[in-house]
Order: sequence, then C-alpha cells, then structure tokens
Amino acid sequence: MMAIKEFLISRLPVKEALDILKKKEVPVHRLSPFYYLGGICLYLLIVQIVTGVLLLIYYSPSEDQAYQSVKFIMTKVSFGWLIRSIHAWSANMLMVALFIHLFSTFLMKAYRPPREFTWMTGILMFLTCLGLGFTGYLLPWNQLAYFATKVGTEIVAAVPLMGEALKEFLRGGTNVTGVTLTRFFALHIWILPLMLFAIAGLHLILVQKHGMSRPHCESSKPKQSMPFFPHFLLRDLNVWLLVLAILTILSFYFPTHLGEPADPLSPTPIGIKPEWYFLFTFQLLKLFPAHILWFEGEHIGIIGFGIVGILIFLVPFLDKKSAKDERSPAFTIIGWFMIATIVGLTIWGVLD
Amino acid sequence: MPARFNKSYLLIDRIGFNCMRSSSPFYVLLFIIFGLANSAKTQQQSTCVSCHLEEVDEDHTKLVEEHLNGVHAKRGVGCEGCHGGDPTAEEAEDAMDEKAGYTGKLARHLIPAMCAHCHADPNYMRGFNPNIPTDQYSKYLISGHGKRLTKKRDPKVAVCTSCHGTHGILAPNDPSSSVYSLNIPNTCAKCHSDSTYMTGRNIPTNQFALYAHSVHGEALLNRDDRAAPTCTGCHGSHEARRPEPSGVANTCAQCHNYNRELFVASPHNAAFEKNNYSECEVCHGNHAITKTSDDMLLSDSEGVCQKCHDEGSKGLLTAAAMKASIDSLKMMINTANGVVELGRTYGMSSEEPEYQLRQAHNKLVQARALIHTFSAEKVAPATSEGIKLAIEANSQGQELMNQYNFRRRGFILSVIVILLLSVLLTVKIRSL
Repeated sequence: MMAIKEFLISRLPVKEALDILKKKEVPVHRLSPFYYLGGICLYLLIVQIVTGVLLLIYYSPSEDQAYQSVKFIMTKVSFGWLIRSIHAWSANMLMVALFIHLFSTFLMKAYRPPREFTWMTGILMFLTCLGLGFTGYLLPWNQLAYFATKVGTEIVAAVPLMGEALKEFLRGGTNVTGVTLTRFFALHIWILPLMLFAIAGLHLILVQKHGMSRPHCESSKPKQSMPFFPHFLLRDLNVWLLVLAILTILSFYFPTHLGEPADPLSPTPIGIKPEWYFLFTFQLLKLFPAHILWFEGEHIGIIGFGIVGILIFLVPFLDKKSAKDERSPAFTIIGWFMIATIVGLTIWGVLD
Repeated sequence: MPARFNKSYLLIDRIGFNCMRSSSPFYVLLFIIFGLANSAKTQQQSTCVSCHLEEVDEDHTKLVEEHLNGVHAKRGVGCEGCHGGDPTAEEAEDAMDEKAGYTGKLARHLIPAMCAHCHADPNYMRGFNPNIPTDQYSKYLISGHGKRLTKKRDPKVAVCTSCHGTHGILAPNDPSSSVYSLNIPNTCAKCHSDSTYMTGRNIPTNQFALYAHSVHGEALLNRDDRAAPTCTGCHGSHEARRPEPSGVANTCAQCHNYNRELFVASPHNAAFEKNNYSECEVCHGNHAITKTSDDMLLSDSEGVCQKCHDEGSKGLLTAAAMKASIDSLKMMINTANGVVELGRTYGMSSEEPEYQLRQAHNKLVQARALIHTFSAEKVAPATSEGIKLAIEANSQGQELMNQYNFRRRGFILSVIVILLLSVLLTVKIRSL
C-alpha cells in the first residue's frame, strides 16, 4: 500500500496540490455554515453528471421513444428507478442550494472587490442551471412535461421584438414537437453542461484565488479561521454525506413518477404550472395587466425581469458602499425584499 | 328558406286522417291549391311580432319571446307558418282575417297534420337540412299516441307540441330542448307519471320512478351519459308504442347485441317463443332494470333462475355451476388486486400486473355475457383463462412486493452506512 502511495506521489503533483490547499484558510464566524453551500452545489452537480450519464445509456431522445425509454429505465433497468429519482431530486436540491447560495452571498456582500467576477460567474452558473432544469424537464415526454414546456416557451414569446423568433428557435417550429425534444436534449446534455463546466471552472479558480469572503458585519470581531485542508474539506465531506442521506430518503419515499405519455392533441391539463423554480416569474407575470399604456403587460414584465437580472449581475459595481467596505443597508433590504417576493410568489403559485 | 303556410290540414275535420296519410298526390294537390301565397311577405317585418310583443297582454309577450328564441324563428318561420294570417298587414283585423288564411289557435287534433305540412315534405325540409328526416308524421300515425288521436280523437293524447313545446320549440340537439336526450324521460313523465292525467288509460304511471333508479336511468339522469337509453331508445319516438314480447330482445339488442346473439342460440330461445315470454325482460325487468349481479344466477334474494327451475333440476345445476365458475374468477382477481394495490401504494410501478388484471377482468365480463348461452361448459373457458391471467397478475404483484422489500433493505442499509461514515468523519474532525 505504502509502495503504491510512494509510486503515485513521486509521479503526480499530489504534494504540491496539498501544499496549496493547506495554505488556504477559511474564515470562522457565526455565518460560516453558509460556506458549505458552494460545496453542496458542486457535489449535487457531480451527482447530476453521474446519474445523467447513467440515464443516457438507455434514454432515447425521439418523440416516439422518449417516454418508453424512460419507462424502460424505471421498470426494467436494475436500479433505473433509483438513478432517475436521484437525478430528479438532486436537480431540485441543486436549485434550492443555488438559491440559498446566491442570496446568502448577496446578503453577506461577498461580491465586494476583488470578488466581482466570482459573483458574475456565479450568476451565469445559476442561469445555466435554470436552463438545464427547463430543458431536462421535457425529456421524459410526458403530459406534464409537454404542456409545461408549451407554457414555458410561450412566455419566451413575450420578449419584445424577437420573442416569436426566439420561441420558434427554442421549439424548432411553431409548436412543441419531436424537434423541440431533440434540441432540448442537445442543450441539456451538451451545450449547457459545456457552458456550465467552463463557467464553474472559472468560478472555482476565482474562489481559490480570492478565498472565502468574510462578511462586513464580522469584520470588527476577532478574526478566526481554519485550514481548508483537511479541516474544512472533512466538514464539507460530512455535509455531502448528509445531503446524500437526504437524497436517498427522498428517492425512496417519494420516487419520481412518469405520468401519462405526452399527447399533443389532448387539451391542456387544468392547472398546468412550470417547475417550482420558475413559479415566481410565472405568478409575477400574471399580476401584470393586459396593457400598460401602449404596451402589452407581458412585454413590460419580461423587460422588467431582464432589467432586474442585469442589475443583479452588475450588483458588485452598483453597491458602492460595500465596495468601500462600508455597511450597505439599502442592498440588504433589496436582498430581503427579493427573497420575500420569490418565496411569497412561489408559495402562492403552489397553492394557486 | 321562406316560411310557408297553407290550410290543407284543416280538411282533416272533413276528410279524416286516413285520407291525409294515404293520398299523397291529394296532399300535394292541396298544397298547390292553398299554395305558398304568403311566402314572399314573410321576409318583411312581422306585425304579429311587433303587436303581440308590445301591445297585447303579458302572456302573449312571453309566447312571442319564446318563439323568437326558438328554432323556427331562427330559420325564418314566422307566426303565420302555423297560425296563418298576414304578417305584413298593418291593422290587426287585416292580419288576422280568415281571408288571409288566419286560423288562430289550432284544435289539438289538427296539430300533427299542421306540423307535417312542412316536416313531411322532403323538398321543403331539405332546404334547411339535407339530412333531416321527414317521416315523423307517418310514424306518428302508427304510434300508440297517433292511433288514439286518429281513431279515438283522444283530447289528451300526445301531439307534436306535447313533447316539443309550442312557441319555444328548440332543435333536438339543443340541451335546453325538451326532446334533448337527457330531458326525454322528464318530458315523457309529464304525462305518463301523472296518474290523474292518465286516468282511463290502462297503463301504469310509475315508469319514470322505476327508470330513474334503474341502471339506464342512473347513467342518463345522474351521469349525463347520453349513450344510455331513454324512453325513446326502447319505445321509439314518433312511432312510440309498447314493444311486443317477441320484439323485446331486438329492442335490447340495439345496444346488447352480443347477449342477444348468445340468447338466440341458446335452448331458452325456443322455450321463450313457445310460451310468449318477453325474452330479456323475464330476468332483467323493463323500466326498473338494475345493475346485473352474479347472484341473479343463484341466491335467495336476487336469484332469477330458480323462479322457473326447480331445485336439483338441470337448469338450476347449470346456474350453480356457472356461478361457481364466475365466483372463482372474481376471488382470484380480488386476491391479485389486493397485492398489486399494495405495491402501487408503496410507489412501485404496477403497470404490467395491472394490464394482466384488466385482461382478467375482460374475461370476467366475457364470462358474464356467456351466461346468456345458459351452458356451464361455454362459460368455463372464459373463467379459466381469466383465472390464469389473475394468477399471473398475482405473481407479478408478489414480485413487486419482493422488489419493494429489497429496496427497503437497501435503503435502510445505505442510510446506516452513510450515517456511520458521517459519525466517523465527525470523530476525525474533532480529533484535528
């Protein structure tokens, strides 16, 4: 055993890597548990990749075989039901972890210099994951997926000027068909993951370069920290084990069901809704009146989302006080307002 | 299409119904004589409507409003279509002048012929709908209602307006129409459930009460199932009459054709014909047909076979054998269903055993239909096949439960391993 270890250490840069990790320090304070969220996202992303690749072995991305292939995975393939359940549940947990990670970073003002690009790559990763969730939802080609995608792509049509063209580009035609399925498949397993890997790689490099940000509210207190390796890494692993336990429990007690195969000729099922992480936008669009002055309400809503998205993306440059390492209560209020709005609208959407 | 009016049917009082029915050239001639003199005028504003809507009493106003909402007004048939008169005349005396063909309120016995002068004319009616039937009047004349009208001049017997209404007549496919399929039982019941109105007629008045609780009535009235038979489904509509005993099976066979075929090929057919029994009705009843039960084969409460067959007879032994065979299949289906249901409750994918169960249930339905062969040997193959399918479903259900138990053991083991690793890591972290 020792001989193998020596063999590897003498040939691979293990020692150099460990030296870097040992030098890295993680701040210790009352908000330190939020540092685990990045690791949780990374772990869930790995689970997504592993289970996704396993599902790919049997999945067939065509209109007439997609549903049957997923059914085959769930009923015939050994542990297929478990793999699909874990894939679906870990996707949902990833979205939860991403939301918490994003807003905890926002409220702790971790986007302060020099971490502007870390924040921006994080936002891009979040958007890419939303895209992965949206495209992956259609792949089982069941009734719920079909009509949710139809409703979802319909919203895209409200983008001013280029909405219809964008909708047709996404759908591969005027309606959701087998062509939509194949392009969503391509987006889900190739285009978006490659984008995600690139952005995630940059994000991780930036996190390594700048380290963890200590929140402004903790700056006045005595600075404590722990080495990343092995202290923080072992704690990270422990959290991952707990996440795995939660995933196992959810997958066993609430296995993902397949539902009925998509029937484009059937009427839209009553109460069709997008996935929960899109629900707040869906509900917010409902609140807009049909017309605002000379413009369509939906168009104004979509433009509003776009503007808010850009502002969030550029927040490190807008929050001047945080940039100067001063308290920034206005952005704290904005952060809590956004959380309350998203949570409130999502609950309303679920109950609606 | 313009509305038209002639008074040929008024001759009924002079020449009788038979002449009207059998002398179609004569009938056509009458149309020509009395003609379509008013047809061109009807396109103009009707003074009938304008006066009766505003200037006469409330009752008339209501009738005019009903007419305007009815199918006739919508198709351009005005008041003069039935009442005659001149709807273009400004003065009431001119509009309702007999010289202008005004008849006023028609005598009840004239109504069918009055309606027929348009509805029995294919050339005229095809202008409204090329597929519209025009045989209602000839059918009515041979119906129980028609016969009472023509032969007995019964003043209370149903005429066209009794079922279709008078001024507010709606198309039969209009859900508000009194002859829309879901409304027919109530329309018939208006007279047939009224014991006072039906006094002097030798028929019961409980048909609607019985039908409402029957399997057919429950489907039609409670579940709005338009495929379920209404009164007209068995008795006919315009030709309505009581079915002959020998025609009962044909009536039921409109829907239950397979059972009819089996019955005709069975030994019962000859015996029923010989004794003039009303075929299906003997076991199933008529208006009060309830959902069939396997206990109808042999039981103290519902058994029908024992009403004719003595204990120990070949007939009753056959009934007992058929019941035993069907009961075995039901028991096996119930057992398998319990196992599959349990698997489904635990979130297992139970499509395959459910498919087998559906197949087994189809065999049960088939076996129940085969009862009409009155042969235990013919019922047995269906029940045997059903039992095989139910056993297959049961074993697939058991397999589901085995898989579930395997998953549960795996789940418990996984969580224990994960938590153990977590504990070990925690110990390691604390030792740092």
